[in-house]
Amino acid sequence: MNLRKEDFKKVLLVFSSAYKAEKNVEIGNAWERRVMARIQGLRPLPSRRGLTAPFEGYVWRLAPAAAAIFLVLSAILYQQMDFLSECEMARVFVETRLDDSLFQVLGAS
Amino acid sequence: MAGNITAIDGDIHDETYAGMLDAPKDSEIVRRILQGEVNAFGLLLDRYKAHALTMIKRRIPPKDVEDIAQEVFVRAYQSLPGFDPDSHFNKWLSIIAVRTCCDYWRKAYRTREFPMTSLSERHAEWLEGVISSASTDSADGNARQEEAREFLAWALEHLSAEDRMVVEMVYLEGMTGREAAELLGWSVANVKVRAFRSRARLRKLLSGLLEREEEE
Repeated sequence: MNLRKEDFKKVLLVFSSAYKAEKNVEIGNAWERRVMARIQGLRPLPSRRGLTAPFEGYVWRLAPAAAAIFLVLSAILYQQMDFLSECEMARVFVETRLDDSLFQVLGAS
Repeated sequence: MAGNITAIDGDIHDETYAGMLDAPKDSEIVRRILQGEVNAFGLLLDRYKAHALTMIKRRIPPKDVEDIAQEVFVRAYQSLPGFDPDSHFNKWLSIIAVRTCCDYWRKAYRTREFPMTSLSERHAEWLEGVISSASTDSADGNARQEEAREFLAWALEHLSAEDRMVVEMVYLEGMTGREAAELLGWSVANVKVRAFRSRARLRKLLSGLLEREEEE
């Protein structure tokens, strides 16, 4: 049986009135004392937040975007770096005899 | 007269006119606390205890109300350096209370610390009774309301912590999407989408229960 829209509305209204009804939960003065004791045990608060305070909330929100930008820029940088020529340079030194490669480097004939 | 003053200075509620004249403003108390007068927090605690408890009692099982209320005030104290003296303390505290309740349910769902509510035949009968009754005043007597509360607890346990908060605020308390979004720190669109999905989920849940009842 599918619950009709109006029936569901009715159930929600009954739920709402039950939800709003006062629950019998008593909290004594001992609770207040416990809260104050816990607060007194905490380290002192800094007086006020600095000028950057309004932006602090955005730091974590912007973190994923910052990480994505970092990865994209790293990829671009990696592609633009000329690793091949450095490898070739290394190979010249490894594969060629020492005196030959020194002559080439120093430009001697 | 007191009503006029409450409207101008939204910080203070339920105080007599004379008491309001003597009572320091919330922003003044916050300033004193930040200057090192930690005991001044007792004034805020005393002033807003009832407000916070009303919010928490609705959302949290009775056995955990005390602990969560304590957590709300400790978080409020730790967040005092970020409190805007031009804003209303009760509204600010409400945000902390709602988010603490949301954290409570997230943790509870993760660890499954709370006992799952089970439904009996009388709950199914109750649901059928509500559907077939002409008016919504079917919560006749405490027993019926108790059944409604148990049924609601069972239904809410099938939602995520976030969906649960949205359902409570929008459908059970009657808040607007904007009000709920402000308290939860979400966008209005997010609240609306979650509210729509959770409502559909609840309806499906109740429909499934009625179907099972019919089969039996």
